[in-house]
Amino acid sequence: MIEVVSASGADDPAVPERADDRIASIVQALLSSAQLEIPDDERDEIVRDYSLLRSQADALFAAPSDVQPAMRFNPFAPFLDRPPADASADSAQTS
Amino acid sequence: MTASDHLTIHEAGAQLRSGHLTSAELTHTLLERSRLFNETLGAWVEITAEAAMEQATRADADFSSGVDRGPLQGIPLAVKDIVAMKGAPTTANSRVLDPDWGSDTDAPVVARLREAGAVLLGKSTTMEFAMGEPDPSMPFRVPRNPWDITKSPSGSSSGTGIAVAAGLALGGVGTDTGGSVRGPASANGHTGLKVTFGRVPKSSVVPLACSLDTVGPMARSAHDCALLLESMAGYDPSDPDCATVSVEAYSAALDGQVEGLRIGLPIPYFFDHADLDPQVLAGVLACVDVLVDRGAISVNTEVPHAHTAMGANRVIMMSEAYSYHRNNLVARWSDYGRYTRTAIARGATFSAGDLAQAYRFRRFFASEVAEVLRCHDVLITPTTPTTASDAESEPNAWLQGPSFLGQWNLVGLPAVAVPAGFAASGLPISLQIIGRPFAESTILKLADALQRVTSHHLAVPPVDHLEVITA
Repeated sequence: MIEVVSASGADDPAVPERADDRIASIVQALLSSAQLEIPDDERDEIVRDYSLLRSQADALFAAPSDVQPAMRFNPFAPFLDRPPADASADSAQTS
Repeated sequence: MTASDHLTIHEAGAQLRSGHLTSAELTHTLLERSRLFNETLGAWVEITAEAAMEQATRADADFSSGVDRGPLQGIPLAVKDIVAMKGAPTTANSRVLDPDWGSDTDAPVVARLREAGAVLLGKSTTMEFAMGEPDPSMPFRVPRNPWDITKSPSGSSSGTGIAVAAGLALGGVGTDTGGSVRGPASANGHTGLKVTFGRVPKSSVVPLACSLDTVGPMARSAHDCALLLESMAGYDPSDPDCATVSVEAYSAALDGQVEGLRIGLPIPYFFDHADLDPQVLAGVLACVDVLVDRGAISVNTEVPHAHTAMGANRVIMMSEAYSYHRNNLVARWSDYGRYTRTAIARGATFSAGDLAQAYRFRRFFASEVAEVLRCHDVLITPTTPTTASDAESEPNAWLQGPSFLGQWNLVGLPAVAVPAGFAASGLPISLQIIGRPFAESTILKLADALQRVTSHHLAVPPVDHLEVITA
């Protein structure tokens, strides 16, 4: 986790550079696993925003969540006494 | 500028029926303005002038022979260029989309507008695949804000927003996955409705994120959005997400009466965020006061986990967008626009667990919002924390700041962006009214009530003073 790298190096001025390198390595690995060959400057843009987006995704694990995920999400079920049969969601659109 | 440039749909309909104006005259005027300003404002990808004039002539002939298909007959509209429309290519502002995609097809929403007698002026500019940002190196015009061309018109339904604000169309079709109808409505100073998920069919619309995408109306007034929605809404079997909930007579419900309606103002995050422009805050609260003066009841409240919900919307949007584009990103990276490809590729950095957790959080957040809306008929927030940003601001800067928009896509709720005044810079301010599922009539009723006693939505940007650039 990025947070571990940053926290462990809080008193070491050399660590931020290592943390940046570590993030770049993580992003490069993720993009490579997705078979995305990206020019360095464009990969750097993704690296730049990675920590921000990672923190937003990590926040989801810290927040409450529904413990019984359904195969088909109906966003309106909580608004109704019983789930409507006519307002389903979450299936992919084909074009 | 002529008198017909900045009519509302409602006003134009009255003039068409009284014989003071023909659809051909109105369409011709808007086409001329589009030709004059399109190089500067970048509203249109394709203007289908000949077909539009034929449709207008047909509408006039119908009026003359006593055939009246309803309030959209003879009304010139814009269609966002990710929505299939016969007679015009769908590009999604991209070199990647198959040129034959949607060819000779009307999306159900377009077919409905055509059946209602509307005049389809052409395909309006979108951010590439409704996700990217303008890229001058691409073979598409860069959209500009008609209030100040150094400012962004926002996106991704930029072209429809510009066309409505600048008097190039009386209304049109946009799509909203994380704010793409309401953002342009805010930046360009008009009304825009993000509908309930499933309210309008999204078949034959290039997807961005399938569990968040909606198709909605954009126009100068709430009344006009109601008229458009009456034609656009309703079940279509080609969209598996489309609801069979009956379509209301939205415009008939606009009676200006708001007595007793309970407005919740979610203060944390939406009203106390450090990035909220004080002028935006003041404009929104002044409009709330107008509604309270007319009998609505305003109560401070809280929507828990609003910031987390913004993040969840981004995780889902980027992941679903990435899934749609992954193969083309691998094979045709350089054919995508410079900022589109990096924006979509960010979806590859989320894990399957991230996405599953976002779906689980969404269910929880829906319950929280439902609880809030048990006590309030609607919520009101600023639509955006600031007025329009600089057109040359850093690409993907939107990732950095707060958003008041994606939370409602996350849980599928309807939300309408409504002009709420102007900042000292002259740029529009906008508020957002959020309602319960399929309660478009309620939020439009409040928006219309506000617009009956304010004129922010009727203000006209100074495009006639622009230096005209020819192609």
